[in-house]
Amino acid sequence: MLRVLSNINLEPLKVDFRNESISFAGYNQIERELLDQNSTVFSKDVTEVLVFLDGVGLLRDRFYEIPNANLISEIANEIGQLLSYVENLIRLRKTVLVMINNVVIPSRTHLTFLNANATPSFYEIEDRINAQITAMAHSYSNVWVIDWRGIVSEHGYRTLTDEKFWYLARTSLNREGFIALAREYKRLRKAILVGPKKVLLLDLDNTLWGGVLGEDGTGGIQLGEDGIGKAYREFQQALKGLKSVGILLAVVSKNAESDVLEVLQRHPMMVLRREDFTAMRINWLSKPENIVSIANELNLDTNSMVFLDDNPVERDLVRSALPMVTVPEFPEEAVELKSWLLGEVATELFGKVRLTNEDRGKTEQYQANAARTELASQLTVEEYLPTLKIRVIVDANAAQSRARVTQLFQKTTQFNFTDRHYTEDQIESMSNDPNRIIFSLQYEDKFGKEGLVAAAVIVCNGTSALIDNFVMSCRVIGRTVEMIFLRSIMRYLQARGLVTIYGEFIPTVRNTVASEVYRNVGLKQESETRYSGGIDSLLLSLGAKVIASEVCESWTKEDR
Amino acid sequence: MDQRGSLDKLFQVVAETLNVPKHELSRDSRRDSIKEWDSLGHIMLILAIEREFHFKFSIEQIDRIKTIAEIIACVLPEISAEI
Repeated sequence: MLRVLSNINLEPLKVDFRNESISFAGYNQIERELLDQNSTVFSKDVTEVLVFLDGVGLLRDRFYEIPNANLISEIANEIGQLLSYVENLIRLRKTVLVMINNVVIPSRTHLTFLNANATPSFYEIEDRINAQITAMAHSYSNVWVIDWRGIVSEHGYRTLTDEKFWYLARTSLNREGFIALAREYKRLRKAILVGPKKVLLLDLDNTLWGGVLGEDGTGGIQLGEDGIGKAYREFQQALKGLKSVGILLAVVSKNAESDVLEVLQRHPMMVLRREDFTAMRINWLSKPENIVSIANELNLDTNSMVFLDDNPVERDLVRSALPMVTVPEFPEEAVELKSWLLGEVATELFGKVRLTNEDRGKTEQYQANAARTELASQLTVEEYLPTLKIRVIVDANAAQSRARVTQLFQKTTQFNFTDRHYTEDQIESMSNDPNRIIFSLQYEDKFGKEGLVAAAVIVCNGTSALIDNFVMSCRVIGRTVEMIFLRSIMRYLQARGLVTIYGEFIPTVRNTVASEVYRNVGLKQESETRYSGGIDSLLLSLGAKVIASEVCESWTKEDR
Repeated sequence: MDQRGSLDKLFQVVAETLNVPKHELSRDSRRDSIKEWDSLGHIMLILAIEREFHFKFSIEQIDRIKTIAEIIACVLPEISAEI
């Protein structure tokens, strides 16, 4: 259940959550509800909490004073107090998801032009409050900020509010305001719980540039610094921005490939170049065929893909042939392309709440993978793997990798032995537990770095150890990385006097790829889900299976 | 939109906002006969109609409205006059 706490009456929001369980603490009941551990917000049914703070509601009568240092510190103290109540809730209810907005104080006040020209001002109070809220959210993995300030700057304070409803029912939002708040809440929640789509598939003619390349020629397409050409250029800049936060770009176009390559390489006004695209299909095959072929090349599901095309026929074709691919409607006018992409498309489908180092180098990773595939097609596996010159680094309990380790446990569904998806809090508490060890592996080969691609949690008990879970990114499947990783983990355990290893494999609909690993390395199946063996003999068997590779185990240095 | 379309849309908005089946509503539907049309339901209804019909109720109108016919009289006066 979603529990809503606010200093205004937010109950009309329930119409936007018709198919969900939602309840309200009532007007101005935030503190009362958070201070009483018997109140609803602390109950087990509550899985999500929305704290909505109205700026005027926070200031109350002080909204008509002249802002000064005293007022600023008074308000800061109040907010600090309120946030500490929220923190108390999080400490007691660790799994609850909390969303809190940043605050907007309306700009029209008795101060007229002083607010912008004098200091201190209400803007300073607003900044101070919001800095406190952001800092608090940063220090907890399950608290997130709803960018109400961003919404108000996008739509305008007057568009979203109506004083009438304040006087009638102690709510300051109008219907537009409630819709905007509910939409942002749902988009943010989706970004947190589901995560963004991975691939943006792009048409070219009348999508990345104006006009038709095959008819207008390289010099005739609309793309540049003037007129409508500028709209396409800025659209490309926005796409490049999405690429920089880890979205993969791909081309699906009906064109002559050589013409397109000419534009990609030589057109002076192109922002996106050949190396910005992870995959390209420029031919006369149907778009659904090409999309499936890209999905296979990148080893990604079609449900992680979004297709942008100005042509309604192509959009319909993709929608009906590949219903898992998301196909948004396309703007009528080229001038709307950029704001449409950054507004509706990005926030709805590519919402990101964390940026990892892996995200920053995503395109290069996938391109390196494509190069590996090409090399592999010429050799047998035994011949091919050593030519990759694999180098790995294995760490035990590395604090700096926690965010990525959590992400890996959360996201991996295929190469996942027990389907245990630990949260960041769980990872943190496990790394403080002397009987648990979190191992992680970073991978690199001659084509490039893949980053942190495997992780495992080991529980020690006397002279035996249990592999609680073991996950590996599908990007490195088929390169014996799981064997290399297991061998390092076993060496670590052997050096600490452990003798017996237990493993579990709990089948799900998606993890068959990992089902044979324990059997293949010679562990004995004890029951339907449980395997066991001696660490010494497991090391012998792994030694025979691992291909030549350079392994750096970070703890061996410490041990010396 | 023609008048019939506007009227239909109004009933649609009332049904969706109050979460009652559209066929149970008529011009004569009254606040005191629909459980969901309580004071919160009333505010939600006003919020929704203002947006859908680009209309602004006065405080007096909001206080006075007791039936769907009275909403129609405010929002779609030309239809209301016909009956």
